[in-house]
Amino acid sequence: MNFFKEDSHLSEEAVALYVDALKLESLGKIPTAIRDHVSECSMCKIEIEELFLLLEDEKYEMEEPHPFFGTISKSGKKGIPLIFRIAAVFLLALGFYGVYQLYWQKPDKNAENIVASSVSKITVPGDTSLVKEGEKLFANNFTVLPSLEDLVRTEYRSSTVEIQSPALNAEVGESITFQWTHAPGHQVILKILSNAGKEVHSVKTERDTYIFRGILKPGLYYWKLESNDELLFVGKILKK
Amino acid sequence: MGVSVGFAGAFNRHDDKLNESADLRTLTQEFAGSAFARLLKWRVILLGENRLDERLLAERPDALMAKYQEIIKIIVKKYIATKMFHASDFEDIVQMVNEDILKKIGTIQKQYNGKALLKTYFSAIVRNSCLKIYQKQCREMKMLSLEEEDSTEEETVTNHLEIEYDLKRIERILGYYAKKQGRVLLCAKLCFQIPIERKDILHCFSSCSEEDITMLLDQFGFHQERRLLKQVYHIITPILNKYEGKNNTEDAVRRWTEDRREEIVRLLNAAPHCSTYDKETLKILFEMYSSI
Repeated sequence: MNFFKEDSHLSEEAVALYVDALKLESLGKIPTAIRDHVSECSMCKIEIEELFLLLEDEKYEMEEPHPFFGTISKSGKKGIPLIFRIAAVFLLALGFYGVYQLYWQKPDKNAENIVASSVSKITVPGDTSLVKEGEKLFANNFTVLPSLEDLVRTEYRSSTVEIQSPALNAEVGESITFQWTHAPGHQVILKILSNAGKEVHSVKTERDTYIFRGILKPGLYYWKLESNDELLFVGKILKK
Repeated sequence: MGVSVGFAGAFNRHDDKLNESADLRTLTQEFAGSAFARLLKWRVILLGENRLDERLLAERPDALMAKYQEIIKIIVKKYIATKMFHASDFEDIVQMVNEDILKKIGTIQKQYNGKALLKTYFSAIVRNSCLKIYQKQCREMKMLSLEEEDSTEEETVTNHLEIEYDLKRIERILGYYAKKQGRVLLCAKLCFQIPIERKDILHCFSSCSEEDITMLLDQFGFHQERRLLKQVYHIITPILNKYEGKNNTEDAVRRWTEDRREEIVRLLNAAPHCSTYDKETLKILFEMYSSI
């Protein structure tokens, strides 16, 4: 489309287009040829300024796309296409759903929340429900497990193992040092169990010392020393 | 499409009524109160106002004229406020504008390309029509001397608001210069001996070296005793040539600056606002613009 008259000045429609751009804050969308001409031409500047002044009290609220500038939001900036708005809403909804799944879902009964430095999984001692229902639930973590309790009192005939630490019913801290004596080269398996009998930690070693640095929730724990063939020892510790 | 066909029936039924009215003033009154106008409102919602206006221009220019009577009246009133026309001539001027536009409606239909909003384009035509009527009046009649006792009172009351308004106008006017806006502003400040700032230099020469910026700020960055303009152009011309890759003389730069200054004065004094800016008051306006 030619925006210029035969005398090389802007046509009436080009002047009107410039004024539309001023009213709709869309000067950046004016064709470069028009802008360049206006920057150099006094007469066209006056035409535009006078027309603008005549229309300065008129409100230009584009409910429909401008025939040349397209869709313009009320602020004068180009509006975001509908498809992007729908996509944005969808992504937001997805985000909220993800957050809901992460933080507001009910915890699993077998939820594990003890972390150890070793590879194996750590489970919550005692009653699998989280300690949130008062002292009664917390006390459950310290109740004895009869089947393991009996093993604690048992005397083991094995003469290859003598336990140095921890002592029976010892209160343990951040790290637990397990120490015993046995024949060198003899591989043993150390296991830590909750008072519900669930294995909390397990390690194979040929040494006579093992330092456990994992995090244990307050409660009663049993620990076992086993060889490949037999149970060597069962001990009991308290984490407060 | 079905909706358009439905409305076409309404258009046609109104034809007889329209044909009865020779006078557009009567037509406007009938139009405003008619079922036709109510039907048009619904069509606006469906088609959009500009598209509806375009269809009226193509199919029912008389209906478009009736719809745009308000635009004509507003523009004529504005010209009356500038004393281009006398208030008592309002009805006659409106009628003359209507007749002038109706005479060339065929040309308007051919020339309008649908790029600008039709109401803006129509306003441009009304403006030109008013100017033509005014020029004809000036040639044929003596201008009556106009009462001025009220205007002084108006100036006192609205002065402060007008300055704020004119500051916005200066910003718009500078925008007309597009890529040369920085040059216009810098040269205007130098010409008016207004202290320049770093941002003024960079707006004009985006790649200006620190050395040149420092030199310009040393020379023009603060108020000075009145310096000869010749000295100003002597300093600024080589800098302009350096960054624009040109070989302008100091005289050429001075003439260009003065032309821009006069152009801005004309723009500020453009109808219908008709301010009375001159070189001195423009300087004051630029000083205020620089301080915001």
